[in-house]
Amino acid sequence: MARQNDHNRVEELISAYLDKRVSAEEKDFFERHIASCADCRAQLETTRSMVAALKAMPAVKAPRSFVLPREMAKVPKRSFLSLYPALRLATIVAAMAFVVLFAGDLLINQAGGNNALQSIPAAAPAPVVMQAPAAMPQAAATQEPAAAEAYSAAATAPAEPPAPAAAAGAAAKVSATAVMTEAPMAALIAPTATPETTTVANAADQTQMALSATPEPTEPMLGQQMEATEQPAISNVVEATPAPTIEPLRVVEIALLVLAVVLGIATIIVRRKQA
Amino acid sequence: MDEPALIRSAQKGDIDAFNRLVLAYQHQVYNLAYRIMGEEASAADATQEAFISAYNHLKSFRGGSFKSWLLRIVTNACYDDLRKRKRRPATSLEELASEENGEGEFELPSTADGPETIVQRREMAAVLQEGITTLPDDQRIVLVLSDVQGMSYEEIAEITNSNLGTVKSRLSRARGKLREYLQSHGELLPAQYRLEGDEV
Repeated sequence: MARQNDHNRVEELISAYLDKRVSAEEKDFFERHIASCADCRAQLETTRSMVAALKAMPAVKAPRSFVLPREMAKVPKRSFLSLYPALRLATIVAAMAFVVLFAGDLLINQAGGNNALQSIPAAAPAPVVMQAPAAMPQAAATQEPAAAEAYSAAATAPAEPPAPAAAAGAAAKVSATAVMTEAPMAALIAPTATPETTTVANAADQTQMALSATPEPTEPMLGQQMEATEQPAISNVVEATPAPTIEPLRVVEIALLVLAVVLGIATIIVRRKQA
Repeated sequence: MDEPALIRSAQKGDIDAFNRLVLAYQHQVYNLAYRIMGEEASAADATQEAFISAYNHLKSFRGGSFKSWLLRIVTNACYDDLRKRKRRPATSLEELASEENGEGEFELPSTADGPETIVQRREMAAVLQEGITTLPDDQRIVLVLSDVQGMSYEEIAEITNSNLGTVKSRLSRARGKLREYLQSHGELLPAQYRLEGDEV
């Protein structure tokens, strides 16, 4: 039994012994056993021959060259350059979204103007609609007087043919209802509006108000108009109140334009780096 | 250009510098892959994978032996392929074996050997290669690195990401099994191998 254990231990040591990876004690034990055991000696010699044969295995020639193609040189940069198609697509999408939104906005504004004209048979209202925005750039700088002017114009409207009065009256109606509900808040918002946006917003307001004009009796409205002129402090609210309903669209348009331009520049940069 | 300079250039993306390293090491890398995989196509695939991987991960090479680093990558590529092959073993093992016994092996004849010795060695190599491919993956890799490639335990431990004790025991088991394989196939080792290496 002890003898079998020795064989097993020698068997385990053969590999390490050949590589001289045995301790002094292991080496001593191994060599003493080998000296007296022909079987283990034979195993040692066979293993030694096998290892020698393995070392003598001929080198094989690579069937081809494994040199990497030049195009591979771009691989480390791939993550950056792969942005190009995505950037290009994003630019196109942003630009198209901008164009669609802007064109839609224009169309709606124009259609709104046409509707206003159609709803009012007389040619007279046109100047009113056109004049009001023209007055607005000044209003942007000093809103209160301009607004007051607009209302004084509206107030004088009854003297003219009834059709423009209806349009102006409708505007006054919008303002009157707005005053009831939103006056304090709008008064706070109005001063923050930038000149450009207010001008644009006002132009839009004008058409929207014209749109919302419904053929209602003019008389009660005239009464409201008088109220408006009597309270100049509130009158600046009139153009400011519709502004917040329009501004988000402008902001989206401008943001889209900026986005499209930035993406376009990024696309060009990436493309140049790629080349 | 010396090797460290080539490596630095390659790390900056210079593929020509990298390809000079490929040319310098591809035979060693392919040989290791061939002895582990046992046939040409898989060895070529593993070699190509290894060089692509090496190029893509060149920044992670932080000095030391570039050869060991490359051999570690190709060893891992082989290991992965062996595992994949195990998952779908139905395919071409037999067909590959028949291929390999044919003209598969391109030998680089040593001019010092006579034709008889070359034939003998080629036959012996074919039997050994068969035996190697019967070994479990871990043992096979250690045996090839040690006995075919002539690497030290320390190098093998580094390449296989293991410790000296593991290398020692795997190698011992691999040699024992391969010896049994040769004996069970009635393979008598030629006398010349028995005469060699008496100097232990």
